[in-house]
Amino acid sequence: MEDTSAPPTRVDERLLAARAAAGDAGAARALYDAHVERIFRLAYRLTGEEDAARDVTQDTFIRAFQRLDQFRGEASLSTWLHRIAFSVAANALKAGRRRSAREEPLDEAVVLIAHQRRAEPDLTQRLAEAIDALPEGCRAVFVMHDVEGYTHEEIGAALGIQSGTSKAQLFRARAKLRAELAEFRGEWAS
Amino acid sequence: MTGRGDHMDDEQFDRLLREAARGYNAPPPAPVEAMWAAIEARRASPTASADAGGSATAPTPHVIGTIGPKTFTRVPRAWRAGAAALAAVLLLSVGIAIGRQWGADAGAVSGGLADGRPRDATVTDAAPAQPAPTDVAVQPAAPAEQATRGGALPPAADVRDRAVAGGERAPAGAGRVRDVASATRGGAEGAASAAPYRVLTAQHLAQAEALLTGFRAEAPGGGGAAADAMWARDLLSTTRLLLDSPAARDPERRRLLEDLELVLAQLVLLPRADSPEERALIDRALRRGDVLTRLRSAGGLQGT
Repeated sequence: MEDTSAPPTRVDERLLAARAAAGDAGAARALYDAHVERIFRLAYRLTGEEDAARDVTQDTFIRAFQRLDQFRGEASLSTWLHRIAFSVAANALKAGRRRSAREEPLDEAVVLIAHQRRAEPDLTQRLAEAIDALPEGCRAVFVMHDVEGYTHEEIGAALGIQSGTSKAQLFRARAKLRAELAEFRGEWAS
Repeated sequence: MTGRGDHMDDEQFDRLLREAARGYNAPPPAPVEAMWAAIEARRASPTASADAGGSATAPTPHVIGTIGPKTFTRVPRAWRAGAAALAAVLLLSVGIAIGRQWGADAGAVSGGLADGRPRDATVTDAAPAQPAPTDVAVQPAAPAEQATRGGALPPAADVRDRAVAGGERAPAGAGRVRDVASATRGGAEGAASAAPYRVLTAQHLAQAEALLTGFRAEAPGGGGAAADAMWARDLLSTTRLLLDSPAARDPERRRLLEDLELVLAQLVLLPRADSPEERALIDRALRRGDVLTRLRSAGGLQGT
């Protein structure tokens, strides 16, 4: 899970992690800056709420900083952070912090994404509801792969599953969405 | 579920869905500075750190830029000492158990391979035996199995034979892949070292074919899903081990194993919701990759 904006190399990451673990504030901030955007994006995609996404992101980095001395560098720091982030997000969702009222922010979301989609607003809502209704594993894989562009290997590492399982979950998710939104096929085709 | 006669095919529809899904929970810009400030504040506060992270046994966090106070003093010392003793005993027990298991495995491997034939099954392979379609016993690629039956059977193979004779089937057995790996690592080279993998892959593909053929013949809700899932789980482990082994060096075989992995992973999940729709999904995955045909031809070719 390399950060495309400013990708530190594996060696840099290990050094930074070691320095941050030793109490170097600059190194910790550098690690934070390198990964915070992507962690926040994923947290937001999964939770659907800014407050929840902020909590998840903050908890992720706090946990990571507490355990930096356990980071051995076998995986990239990004993979390690994503694993923590997913675990924190899953706990947050389980604890009932998942967004319940989609109606309010829907208008906002439609405005935000209107420029990049041809779909009807009705479809936007139906698609969001269909994604929300996916089983949690399928939803996470779908969001990470099809929405955020993670590879199956990255998803496998972050979710602690095999990449083949990730593929199977994506297959199921897509099939469920196709079935759920079948009525829109005709509209889109035209 | 929709078929070929629809307005657009699945790939096109998936693409459009993906495009539309990019707006799903579209994130605003990350409040980088505000979150950093909150992180620093929470890390400076010992109780908050404990809440966020974690466990009472976690090391005292390094507070960036400040010296953190000593934390986690709430657990009485006597309890900590007791917990440490308990942990030590547990660790020792686990160590002994692993040691015994290791010794048993090593003995089984050396015993099974002493006569130069690939070992068919260990006792642990045979333990979680499960039902299988009746046609499974006739495998196009089972030279190792036949050889083992023809020769002096080690006790482990005996167990497997009894399972098969009793209408049960031992799983493909991830252990066998590991055994073959250690055998080939040990001595044989080049083509000779690939032979056990070839045999194992052929057996594995034949078993997968048997499972998938049986699955397609089953009716939904007929009670076969659980047995299929158990069998699929075993085959899935072996498939994954084979994918990481020299057996997957051939690109075509690798693709076949990957497609098989996908189908098996779906089969494993089937008992959770055994419905015609779920079965149709698996059937579609089978048809899309033409998996059964490829399994048949691959099994036939490799078995020779």
